Amino acid sequence: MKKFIIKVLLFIFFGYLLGEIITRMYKLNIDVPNFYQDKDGLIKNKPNQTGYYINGNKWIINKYGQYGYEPKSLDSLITVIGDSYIESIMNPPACHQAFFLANMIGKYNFYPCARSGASFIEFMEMAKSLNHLNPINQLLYVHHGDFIESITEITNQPLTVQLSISSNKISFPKLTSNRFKDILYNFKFAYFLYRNYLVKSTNVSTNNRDLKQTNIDYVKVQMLLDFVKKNYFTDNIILVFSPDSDKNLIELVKENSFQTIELKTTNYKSWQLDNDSHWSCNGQEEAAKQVSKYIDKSK
Amino acid sequence: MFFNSIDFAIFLPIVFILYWFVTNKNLKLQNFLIVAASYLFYGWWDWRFLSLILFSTIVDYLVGIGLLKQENLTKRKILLWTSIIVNLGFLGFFKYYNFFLDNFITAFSFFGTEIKANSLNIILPVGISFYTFQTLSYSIDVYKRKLEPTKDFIAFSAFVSFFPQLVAGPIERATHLLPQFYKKRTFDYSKAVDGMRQILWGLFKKIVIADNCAEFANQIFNNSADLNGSTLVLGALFFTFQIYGDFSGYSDIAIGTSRLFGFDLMRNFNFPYFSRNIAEFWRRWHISLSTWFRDYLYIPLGGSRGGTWMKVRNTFIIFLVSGFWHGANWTFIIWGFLNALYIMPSIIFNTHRNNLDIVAKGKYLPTIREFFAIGITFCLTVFAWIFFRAANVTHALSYISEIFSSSLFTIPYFSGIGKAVPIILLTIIFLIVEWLGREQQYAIAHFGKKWYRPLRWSMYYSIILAIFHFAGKEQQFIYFQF
Repeated sequence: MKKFIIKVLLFIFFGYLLGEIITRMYKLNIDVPNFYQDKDGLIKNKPNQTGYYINGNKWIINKYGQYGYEPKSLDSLITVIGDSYIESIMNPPACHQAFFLANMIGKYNFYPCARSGASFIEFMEMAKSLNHLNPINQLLYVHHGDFIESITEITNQPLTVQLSISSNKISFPKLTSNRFKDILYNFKFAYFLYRNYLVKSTNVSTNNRDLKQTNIDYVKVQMLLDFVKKNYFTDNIILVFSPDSDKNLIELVKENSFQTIELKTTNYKSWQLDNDSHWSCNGQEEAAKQVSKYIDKSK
Repeated sequence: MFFNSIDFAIFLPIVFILYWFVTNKNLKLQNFLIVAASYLFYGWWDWRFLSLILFSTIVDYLVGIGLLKQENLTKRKILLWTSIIVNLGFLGFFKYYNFFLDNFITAFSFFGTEIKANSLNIILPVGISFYTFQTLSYSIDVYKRKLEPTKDFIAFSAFVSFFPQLVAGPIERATHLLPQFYKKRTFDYSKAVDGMRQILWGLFKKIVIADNCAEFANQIFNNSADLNGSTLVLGALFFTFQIYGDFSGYSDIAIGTSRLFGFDLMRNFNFPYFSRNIAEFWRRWHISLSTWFRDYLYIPLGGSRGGTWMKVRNTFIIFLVSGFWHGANWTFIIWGFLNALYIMPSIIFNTHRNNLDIVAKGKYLPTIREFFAIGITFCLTVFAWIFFRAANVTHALSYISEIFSSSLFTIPYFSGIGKAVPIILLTIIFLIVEWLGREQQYAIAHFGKKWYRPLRWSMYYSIILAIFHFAGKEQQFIYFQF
């Protein structure tokens, strides 16, 4: 029995080592960046990190702690705020929204700021935290799901910033066991097994837009907009709506005097990655073209 | 709980440790642990149906005790029929109620009488056909005085619910498995290592071969109306390897797991696709079911004692019943009927006991005659699988008619064919390994056994790697539904 147990353990040990080598060599895992929660409650990445996504694309986190290339300077600044669509970890940095915009409109600098899973109210918090840079505009890339996810009374999302419309209180995500996660991420093979086999069914993708096609409670969304108008500086905010966003919600936002850009396409599928509904390089570029046209016109 | 799940990967080592380190000093406690683990294993799927197993266990245990005390033949028969009615009653209700109801309604409407009856929304308890037959074997053997009935309820419960083979066999005979619960088990290193190897091979068959073939078989069968004949042949071949990999893979895992706990289960598959005729195929495919039907149906019906006509009649009966056992659908009955037809020539010409040996034993290649015999048997089997897999008889017939059209001579094409190529190559490699290992209990039983350990372990790691790499979309074991 002893011999059997020892051999099984040895077999597992060497198998694990092999798995660790293969996982690292073939970059089978997403490298997860180190992050922290700032004094205002927002989750931010530690600056100057690099890593790989599962498809082998290298991601970078710039000196400001944001995914993608940093702006050349902080003058004539426009911020590009959003969730995983703007974070765009699945695309190389040269395919990021801010990078495309910077190439299309050279007179401005574009500052990317995104977090996977963030809600509309979290975008507003991000915008608030960037106001000290005096941006000309703050582009918030949204989808109707981001509004739904902002309201605690509709859906409880403990990992994102939310507003309770009954108490008008904002709740911030609570980071738990961060150190434990840091350690776990360093065991690449264990993390690979965990991600692919233990949580496969619940963690297929960081994108959950497909799940957001629920009935929208416009009354509650209006209460959210009222709160935002009252508590945030919105004059420089432009909401950029994804092509698959709910049209009634866009109208509601417009009625509340927000500046909006509605991205349009006749073939939304061509904007998306093959196995994932996030925007591909082509999708990012198409979106940037439409946004740059709007900015050019308005200035 | 599925063998190919994380749940089982956690469950198995825990039960193993408790079995050999905590309860090993007390046989009753060890058997009790098996019962508890088996109930947990089964209840993981749906705890409500544990009551069925428990009820069936109590009835057959009491029938056994009753038969022990009873000498009166009439009363013994009543006891036996109690067991048969209870077990087959459950099976009939859960598995066949809606089938019979639908067919009665159809039959009466054919004669102009409309019957209004509602089908019941019945969930088929996993593995009911397997444990029902296993408990029946106990009652029948005790009735025939082939087996001393047990007074040990825990041992009997462990026999009925033994988790490695509870939901998909092998269907054990009480005479073989039950006595193993009476004896103290001692840990046998080589048996345990062999068990681990068989589990590994079973997982490979299930996850790499069956699950990947299933993806393409499903795609082709579900869209058969839009595909050409050669693609449909490919679909039938995918299903042929899916069902083999799935079911024999399950049996390998079940046998291997049992060996870890010191038990020997009967062999269930013996490289059936290398059979030289259908009779040989049925000696090698789902052996535990074939021999069950032979022992408890074919022989009681008279077997081959009454001349050729009797043999023909009895063969048709067991194949039709076997088809029906697989599912409440006419497709299974036709599948059984086809196999009965296939086997007829060897029954009539009394050649069904030919080919009892291993094909091309000790050689790398078969003779040309053997090669053609294997090829013809394989083609007949693939043809019959079409009925087994089709959604209904109409589907099967349209599938076959498209195969035998001019489109058979076109190049196979379906939307996922690019992804199918590596799986086809892998299946060919798998077939070669199976061929090379056909003289063993399972293909890799002796493969690399004498190799230098790092090399041998590399082979195991390669198989594990293939399992991870080719892990297709997880499919339930096909035979769970039977």
